[in-house]
Amino acid sequence: MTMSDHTSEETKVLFFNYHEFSETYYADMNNPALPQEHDKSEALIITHFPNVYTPQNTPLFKETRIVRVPRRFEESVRYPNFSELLPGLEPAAIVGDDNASTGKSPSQHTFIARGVYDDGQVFGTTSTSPLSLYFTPEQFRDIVHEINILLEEEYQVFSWWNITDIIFTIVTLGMWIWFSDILQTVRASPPSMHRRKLDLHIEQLNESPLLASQRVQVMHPSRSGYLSLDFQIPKPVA
Amino acid sequence: MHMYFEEHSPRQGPVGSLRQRLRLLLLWLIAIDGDEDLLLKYKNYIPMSSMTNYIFFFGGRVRTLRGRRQLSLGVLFIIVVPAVLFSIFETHPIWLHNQGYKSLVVLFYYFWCLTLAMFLMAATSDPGCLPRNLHVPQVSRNFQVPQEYYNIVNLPSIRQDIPIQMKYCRTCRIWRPPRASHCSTCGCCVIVHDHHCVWINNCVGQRNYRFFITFLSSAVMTCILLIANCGTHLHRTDNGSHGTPVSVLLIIWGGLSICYPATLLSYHIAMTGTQQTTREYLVQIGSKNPVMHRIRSNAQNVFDTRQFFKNMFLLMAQVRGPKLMNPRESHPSGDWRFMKLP
Repeated sequence: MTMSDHTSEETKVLFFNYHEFSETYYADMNNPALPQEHDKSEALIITHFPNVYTPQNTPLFKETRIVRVPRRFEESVRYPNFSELLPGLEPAAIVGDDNASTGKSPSQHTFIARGVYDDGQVFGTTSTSPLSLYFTPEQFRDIVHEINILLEEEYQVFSWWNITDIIFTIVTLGMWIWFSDILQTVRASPPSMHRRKLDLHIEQLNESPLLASQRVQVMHPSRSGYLSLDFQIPKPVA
Repeated sequence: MHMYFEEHSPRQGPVGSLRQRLRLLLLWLIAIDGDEDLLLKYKNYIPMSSMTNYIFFFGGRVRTLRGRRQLSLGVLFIIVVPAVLFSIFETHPIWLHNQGYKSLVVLFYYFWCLTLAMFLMAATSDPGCLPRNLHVPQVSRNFQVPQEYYNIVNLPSIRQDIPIQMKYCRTCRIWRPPRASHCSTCGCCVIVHDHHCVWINNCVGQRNYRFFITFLSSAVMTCILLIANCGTHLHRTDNGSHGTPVSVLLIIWGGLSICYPATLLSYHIAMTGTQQTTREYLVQIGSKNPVMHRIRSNAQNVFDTRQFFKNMFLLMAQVRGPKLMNPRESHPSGDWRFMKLP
């Protein structure tokens, strides 16, 4: 199944990670210096991307990659929220026959490098991303779910903070905005201000043993404009 | 979390000669097209001024667009002139009138200040510009955008029958969520983009929509109060309009300038009531000119709650959220957001 099939499917639209793309001109694992054309059925699926959070000339850029978790709209369209499915487990994910022969269930899918592309990076032939090397689907769901809950709170229109914000803006002829902007960036401000809550949560998450010991980091969604939830992972190796 | 800032914080050497200090001050005052040689190059507003069409003032605090007819100055003129005339010719006699019209004067000044403040905030603040190059697909092949990214992607939404459509912006290199769109006048993608307003010379988006709506409402109130104040003055003056020609002028001024904001406000009430942004509404009617078109709800709109006031509140009071591209922050040299990719 190719990606264009997902988009043209009219009867029931299925969710998939729109960041992925396929590539047939790549080098095989045993001959990484010699890229060649492959059959469509052997196309690599690009599931991890350059780390755009650090300049290209830094060691961090060379050592890390980004897995992008897409936005989803099945739960709500009112606030930014991200897919809680470990990349590769989406309903319309590209599943190869990697695991079919070993008889594994989809939940046991792990990343298997099949080819070299994009400046010496290794990729598999399924939607399963290298994130599967670090988290079980349940751990991943819990991580994203917590973030989604905080985002829902932050983007609640009918919340005391938002209503106060509007009233104070009008009463103070707009001067409140400066004050509130300062309040939200000051570390000592109460965490009940929802944006601070998310900041603290992401900080704690990145310091937690599950992520820190595996050198995985979650990028703050505001840094990615709430467009995707980005996980920084060590560069995958074969 | 912000390790990319800590590791590569800008190394700012001692500021050199007086001449260089003056150049820095000038750049801080007005950044039109980023000058990469200067010490301020690590401030976001410097590269932002060359990547977008914005000009930044006062170290990125205030922005407007360059190379456009500055219609916003005309609007400023229409707002300021009647207040000056009113203060000179009207305030004193109305305030001193023994019938007690002081509250009318106070209300006029309050709404006038609100109009001016909201106009300035809508016109000079961030509408919700999205950062660039967040979704660069690859570094090989000169950062080529793959074929899949040219498709309009349909994703399931809260309503089975209406899919959400996602598009990849090839200029900004990001997957745009629904309601975000690229404004070619401003040169950036704007989140919950309502429209580009030539009168405020800025986009109206998620982060300044409430200022824009408050501006329209307070402008209408200011005009009503201007007419009420001057009408009162006229009525209480013994020799009628001959004694107070400025009152007559201001009544005409108020009567003329109420038309546009009042029309626009009613459009926005009807559009937000059906949970549509101006952009979505214009796409729905298939015309750039909304005049003589009825505003009706769109059956294909997943955002619609079918309750007029709830719809209206959800859009008008939408959460502003943080600045997604803060012109006043610093960045390391080689930050992807400011790279011009082929």
